[in-house]
Amino acid sequence: MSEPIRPIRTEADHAAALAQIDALFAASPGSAESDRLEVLAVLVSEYERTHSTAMPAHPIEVLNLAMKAQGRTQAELAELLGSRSRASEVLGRRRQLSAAMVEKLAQAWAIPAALLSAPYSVESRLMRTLKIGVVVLAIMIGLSAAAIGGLYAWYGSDLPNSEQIAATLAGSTENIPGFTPLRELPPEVIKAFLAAEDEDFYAHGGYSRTAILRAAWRTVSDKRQGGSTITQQVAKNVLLKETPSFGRKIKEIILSDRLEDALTKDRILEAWFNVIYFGGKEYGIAAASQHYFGKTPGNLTIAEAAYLAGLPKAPNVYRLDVADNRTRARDRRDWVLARMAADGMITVSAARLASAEPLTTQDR
Amino acid sequence: MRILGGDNLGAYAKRKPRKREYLLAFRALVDTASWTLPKDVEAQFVQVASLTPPDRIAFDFPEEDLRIEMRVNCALGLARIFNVGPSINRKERQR
Repeated sequence: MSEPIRPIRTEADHAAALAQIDALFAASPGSAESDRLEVLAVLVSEYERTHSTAMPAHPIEVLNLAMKAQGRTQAELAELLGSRSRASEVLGRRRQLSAAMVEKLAQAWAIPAALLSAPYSVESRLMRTLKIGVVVLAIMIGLSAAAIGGLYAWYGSDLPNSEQIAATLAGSTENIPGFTPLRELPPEVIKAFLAAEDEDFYAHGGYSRTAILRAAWRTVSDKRQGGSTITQQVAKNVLLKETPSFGRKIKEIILSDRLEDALTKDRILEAWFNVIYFGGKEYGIAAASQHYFGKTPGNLTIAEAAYLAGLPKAPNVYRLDVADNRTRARDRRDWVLARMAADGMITVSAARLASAEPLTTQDR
Repeated sequence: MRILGGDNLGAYAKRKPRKREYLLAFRALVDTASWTLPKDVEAQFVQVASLTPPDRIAFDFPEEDLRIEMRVNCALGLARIFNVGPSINRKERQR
């Protein structure tokens, strides 16, 4: 007599029931063994149903498997659905299977309609476009990085290194007649020049990316250049003797980078104050102070410092010793004073007082 | 068909998560099938099924590196899955 059938409560019961099923599997229909097999099968499938977390199948995975099982091709699917793109979009999960498509697949290929009708999400065109956009952007960034690396290597190979730059600057600036150490310049003078020329001087690494992009755009659009930081101006005026060009701009950036490695910010600023051009024959802050105001830099007023700070941008446009420039020079000075006030370098009232001062040069 | 030993599919899906969707689709197709003879199985899965009389059927999916073996009792509508593993044909192809 066979063992009585018991409920399946544990994994061990499940395994034992499966073993019995395997033993009875070939039972003839209508036999006692077949009845026993049927009861065991109900118990096992119910146990498995309650002890598993079976998820619904994805309709497109069902379609894929059915096609593979029957040896169907994408071309045949295209023929059935009416177009290649439709088949491609369906298999790529970029298009929902419509009711008409499900019906065709059920009739022609005997794929159960219920399995193909389950809802599923498709990738929107916008999402796909965004994904492609991200990939294109990544490629462009990669190519740009490679191009910048290539330019840096190409133009930087014959430029001096940091040590050579330090030695060159020591030799070329400190021997200038009237060399003015930075410590001898009043804070307002330094502030005025930073406000006019490079307010982020102490924050950037030698060059400003936005300023370079702006300058590049100007170069492309109307051939003008600009956008140089104080470090770049030192590199350009002391270390480079070439005429303006795209190549020189690249070299200027590379040298600025190396200059920042070679010298402190104060040392770079000091070099700049002593080589910068102020119009006429005047180079350096000492010569300019003397030429325009008959003073040493240490005795400049805020208004005078602001005027001198406005000069390096376009010395011959703002020179006070040319009568036609007086209005432009005054406007430029007032602009520098406004920048100083806006940047919190001086108070608004100090800027107003300085703006009210007449702009006059020493009598010559 | 009533699936028995379906936990074999679940266990394999846990070990090979990338095959999970495929296994779910396979289960769904067997679940909704109503085979009256083992040859019906071969007909529905003509490219991948091979019958070993009287009731053993192996489904081999080389591209998915998947093989599912089952016995069918069509009279009672039972499909007993007893083995799930890598494809044999794939290994042979690679040799």
